[in-house]
Amino acid sequence: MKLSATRINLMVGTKRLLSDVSIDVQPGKMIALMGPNGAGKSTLLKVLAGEYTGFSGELSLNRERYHHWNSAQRARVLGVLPQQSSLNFPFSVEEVVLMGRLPHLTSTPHNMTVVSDVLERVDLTHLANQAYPSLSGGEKQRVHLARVLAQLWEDTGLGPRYFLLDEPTSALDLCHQHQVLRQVKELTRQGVGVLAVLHDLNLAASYADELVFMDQASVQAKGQPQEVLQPALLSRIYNTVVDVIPHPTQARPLVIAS
Amino acid sequence: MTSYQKASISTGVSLSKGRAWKSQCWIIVLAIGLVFAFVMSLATGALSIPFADVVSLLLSYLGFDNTPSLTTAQVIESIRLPRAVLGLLVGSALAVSGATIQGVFRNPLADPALIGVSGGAALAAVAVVVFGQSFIAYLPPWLQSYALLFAAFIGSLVVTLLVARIATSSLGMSISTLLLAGIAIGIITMSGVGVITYFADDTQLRTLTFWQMGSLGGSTWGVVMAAASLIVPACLLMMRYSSRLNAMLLGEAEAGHLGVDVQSVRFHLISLSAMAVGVAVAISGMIGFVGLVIPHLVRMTLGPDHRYLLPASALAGALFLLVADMIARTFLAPAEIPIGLVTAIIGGPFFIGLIIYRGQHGAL
Repeated sequence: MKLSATRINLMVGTKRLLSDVSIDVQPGKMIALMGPNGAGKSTLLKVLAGEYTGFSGELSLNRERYHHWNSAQRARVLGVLPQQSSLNFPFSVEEVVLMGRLPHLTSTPHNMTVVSDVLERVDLTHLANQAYPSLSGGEKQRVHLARVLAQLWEDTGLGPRYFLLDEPTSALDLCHQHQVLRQVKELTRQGVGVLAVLHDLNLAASYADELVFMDQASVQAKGQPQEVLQPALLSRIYNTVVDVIPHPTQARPLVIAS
Repeated sequence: MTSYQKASISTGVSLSKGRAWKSQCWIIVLAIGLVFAFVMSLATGALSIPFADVVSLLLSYLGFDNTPSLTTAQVIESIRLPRAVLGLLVGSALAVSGATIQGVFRNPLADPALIGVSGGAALAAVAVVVFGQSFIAYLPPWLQSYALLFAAFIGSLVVTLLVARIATSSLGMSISTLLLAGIAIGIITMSGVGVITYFADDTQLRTLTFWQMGSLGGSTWGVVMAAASLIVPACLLMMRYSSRLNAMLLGEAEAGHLGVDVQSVRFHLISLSAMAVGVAVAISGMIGFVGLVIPHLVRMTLGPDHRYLLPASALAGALFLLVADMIARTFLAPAEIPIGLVTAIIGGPFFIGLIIYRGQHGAL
């Protein structure tokens, strides 16, 4: 059981966005998808999220061909947190989070319990009745995290669940970056497979089980942080001089760009 | 795991208890207000009928044993009742379609009239009035009352899809392009109506003038029933999409991730609102601003949740049109002001106020 993409090619016009890309998201593991801007990370995430159709290659979800899933059932096992959301209607925070329950057929009282549990978990209970458009960028991002957490809250009998995140930490301060990634890491302990596009190499190294580096529409390297965080590789991909030293207090490498 | 119960029934996403309770109260208040306005509109007019007589007549329809006077009954049954029912239908159709179109296009300014939909319906309806009479005469009588409605529906559907097509590029739908295209197509359809005017004879000209300003007058039970048979199902069906419409406000990709089939939901909702608006325009002409003002007021009071917004808009739209029609009939009595002028005189300043408010608050 996994979310798996095999030999994906995607052309838009004459531009090759993905070239022979394969990736497996395993239940209970967290993959950080890394690489410079324009490498194809978000495109790959969108392919896995079902947003593109014009690609070649194999896509499967829990041993079933991806397009055999009907959209409502797929939404019960696959949640997506996009880079930014353009909601500008004055829903309350609680209402936005409740939308995560849309694919489920559970009762309203149960849904309300899930929402209040989720809000507590992401530390948003005090904002539950605030109007969404009045929140700061970072708060909005956490509301959407809560919405997807509510969507993936429980096992629905359709196999392991997966969570795709596109730069979840970009709008957040240091404290909330770690808070969000801790939440996501916590999900992997419940058997959820996670794929997150991240830019911060050190953040990725401290949370992800596997790093996948993309550049120029294809996968350049993948493996555990200790294996792939090599100065030569990073310097080549990012076109910047990079040093890697052991972390002073933790058992992981520390990347320094100079 | 055990708490996940597939079998349990729910309408989907629900509101927090406080806001839901408030919304339900408002819907009850609106319903009571609507009943009151309905009885009022039956009582007011050239022949003033006492409130109590109207109530006793209405009660007699419901099976209570009353014997109202014959004149009263005739005036109400053949003139005022069909007109009031038509007001209910048209008001709900315009307000629900307005709210739905604003949700589908994720823009609170997307009024059916502003994006050219009403214009498309008017052009098709006027073309049928002027050129279609000889053709319609061949249709069986029961179909004749539908021919105009059907033409208006097709007209508004074609324009809505055209505007949506122009506004959609590979990057998604641009709201400013949508509004600009809607305005341009609105002008084109109005010119089309103007051109057709040259081919019209005197009787047809009077019908056309009525179209451009809107009126609930001259409605017979046959027309009202034909309109009801299309507007009521269209509005009820739009309400079935409420939860999915909420999710679509997050964005199309996000709605897709929540299991909503965005393409098909959007097409269904555009078709349904084109049907409701087309029928309303075919029967009552161009009644502007209802589809814009009513959903706005409701949204400001109840919030954007379509599960409450759509039914509350239906009630408020019907209420607003009944009141506007009472003003239209009584303000310059015995002369009658076209109802489209009344709604525009109330709605226009509201719209301007809205633009100023948006400018100052940078939001809805």
